Amino acid sequence: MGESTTTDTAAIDFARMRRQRRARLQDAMRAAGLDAVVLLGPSNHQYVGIGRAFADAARVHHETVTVVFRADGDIHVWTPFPEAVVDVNPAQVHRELPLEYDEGVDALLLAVREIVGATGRIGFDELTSPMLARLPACLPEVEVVDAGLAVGPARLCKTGDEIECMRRAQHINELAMYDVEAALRPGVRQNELSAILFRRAFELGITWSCIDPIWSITPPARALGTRTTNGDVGFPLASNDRFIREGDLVLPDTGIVWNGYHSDFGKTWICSVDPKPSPALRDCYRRWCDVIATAYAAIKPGRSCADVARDVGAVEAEYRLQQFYLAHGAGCDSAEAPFIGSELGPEYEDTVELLPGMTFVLEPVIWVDGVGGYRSEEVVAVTEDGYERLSTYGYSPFE
Amino acid sequence: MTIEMLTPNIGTGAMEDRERIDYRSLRAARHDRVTALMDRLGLDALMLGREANVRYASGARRLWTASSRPFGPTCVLVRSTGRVHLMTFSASYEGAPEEVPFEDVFCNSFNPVKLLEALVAIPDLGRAERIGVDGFSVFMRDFLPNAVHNATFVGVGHDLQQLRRDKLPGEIDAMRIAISIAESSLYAAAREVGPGVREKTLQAAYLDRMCTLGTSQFAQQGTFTVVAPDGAIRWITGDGALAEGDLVVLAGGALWAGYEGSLARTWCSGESTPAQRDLHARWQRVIDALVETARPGATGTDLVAAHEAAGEPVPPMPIAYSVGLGHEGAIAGTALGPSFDREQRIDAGTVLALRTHVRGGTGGYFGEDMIYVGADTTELLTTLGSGITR
Repeated sequence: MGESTTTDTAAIDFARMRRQRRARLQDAMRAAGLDAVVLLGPSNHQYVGIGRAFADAARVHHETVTVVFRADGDIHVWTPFPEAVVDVNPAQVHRELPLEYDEGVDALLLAVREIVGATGRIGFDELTSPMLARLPACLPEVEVVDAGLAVGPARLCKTGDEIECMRRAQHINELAMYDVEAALRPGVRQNELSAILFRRAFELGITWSCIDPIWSITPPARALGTRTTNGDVGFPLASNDRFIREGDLVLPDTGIVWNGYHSDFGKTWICSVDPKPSPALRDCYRRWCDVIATAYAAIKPGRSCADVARDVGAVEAEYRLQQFYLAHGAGCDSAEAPFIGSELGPEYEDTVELLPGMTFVLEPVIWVDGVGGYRSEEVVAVTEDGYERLSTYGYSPFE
Repeated sequence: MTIEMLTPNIGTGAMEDRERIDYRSLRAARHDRVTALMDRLGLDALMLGREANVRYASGARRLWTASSRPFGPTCVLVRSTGRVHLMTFSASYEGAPEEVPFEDVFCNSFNPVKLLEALVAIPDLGRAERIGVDGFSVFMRDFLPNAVHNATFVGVGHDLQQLRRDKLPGEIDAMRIAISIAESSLYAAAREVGPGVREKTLQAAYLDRMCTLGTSQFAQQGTFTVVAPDGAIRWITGDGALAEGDLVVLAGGALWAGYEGSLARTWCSGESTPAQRDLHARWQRVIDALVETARPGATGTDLVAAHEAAGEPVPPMPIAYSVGLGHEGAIAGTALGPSFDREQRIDAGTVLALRTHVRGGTGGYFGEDMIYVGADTTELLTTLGSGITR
């Protein structure tokens, strides 16, 4: 893997991918009537082809990278990572601005005024604390709206190159997971599994990891687990140095990223000297297989997100954890629009039509209280006439 | 002289005779400080979305993520009731500190109507007139007035950052643990440096060791990159292999209880040359000068002057920034130049990261250290040696 082309996946043309994404964003900005977008969010940077190093949740709010993207495609960047900026006029690549300070915000807004103008409609994806006061003071005539009005529609359907990036990300995540699953034996700690995952995934050329690897130890009955606000199974729980012991049902969930695109790996594993699911647990898996087959059959361009949820609901009334959904979109973010079988409800989801290029993570859960349950995540892309699986990992020890 | 540690014993496990860090007291002390800040700023409520602030105010141990986390009111403090309300992503109470009762935890929702219901149910929040926030999305700017009709929202991110800079003793101890993990992990990567080894393998070695030591939460995913012949450095770890004699930047950080330990060194792939060792000596002179200058009352301008007086031009990067629960703001060397540096004052109780990059005809050296600035003394917190001097 890594940067090389392999025989089993199509080659990725990164220049074409940048070009097509920027064109889509321009189209979406015109449709939304935006003169420019100001992007602080890392996934939006990635989408417009501005690379960057990644940080954790605390550091990410020290906003290091800012992109001003005009509706005519002109791009200005402020970044400490100029090496990762491609296809932008070098004269428009500047040093990072400290946007947690009034002075840094003022410098940015002065530049926005010069680049975009003192009037018009500009989308912002995030506002740092000083922007609350400085935006009205520095750009009083500008209408500040949500950048999502344009970025959302642009990112909804993926290009062929984007889907190939997701396939690579998923492939590396899965390769690393073979090592992890082999190490899942009584007495291993959660942090040791994370060490194995990272060692292998980074050696295989993954770009970064966007979520603390989850190894949720899930008791067979809700009452035996953590207390929850909705009475359902508490998931996903943050990892630490906890021991995983004989018989524990372990629900992994990891999201490592390749060139900006997310993978999503979820399974149900049993930690044991000799992992064998009980007949009742195996039955949960069989029902999960029926659900996933129904979902696959339902995915076709022209149908709505709610249609998929309805088809699955006809097979199993309870197919998700209450705090989640049947499926979420994925791409430059680990969970992004659109959603299927979510709290947004069927009325809303009926308005979202499945389109070729949409990518989803299906994550149904079959739970029988007292027995436990089965959960697995499947990454799929909507094609011209149905769907294509990007996940390939098996279902041991249930198969 | 070093500052007194609550325990002289740095490790990650519990000990039977005393707590290494009394987290309960630490949480209480931080919460009291936040409450006092609310009084000082005249705030009826705080709505926090930035992870560092949420951790500081509530002590919650939440699922760690990188990448985008758009602002959402994931922690709400109401002054009149004194209660802390926490959003949970897993519906679970696990990870909430014991002083936040189960009733004060609400579940994340992808449906704004449900989020609104949860916020409206928070006692006294609806009566708040002045609410501090540490950021916003445009959506939240337009949405939150539905939950709090008469409130004015005030950006208090900078005030919280200043509050977090003044460290409590328990915070310093947590940072010592984070630094020890980061040093151990960086050295694990350093020991794999050699001809033919790929940059990604060094990153993998770093993360492997960090996780094995007990935390899978990194402060940043690290820079493990070969220095260019002209001394230029890249920040993003690539796929290329090291050649004999290459200089390679090793930079990484780890989090312990949310607190950051970070450092950077430049290592040599094979035996170093006198010219490479000279780069290190030049770097060391600058860092020594910065450590000497970083006293209470000094400004960013003083640090820049000390850097130049050590005979090196200031590189185009912040050379000093505050560290704690992650990044706490640059002190010197930003793109805003001298006028910004002049306004940044170092106060006693701060932990600083000091760093620089020197370049010469034979390459470059980048390194970063962390120091604690006490009222009477400064302590170098990072102690790892430099492989280039071998």
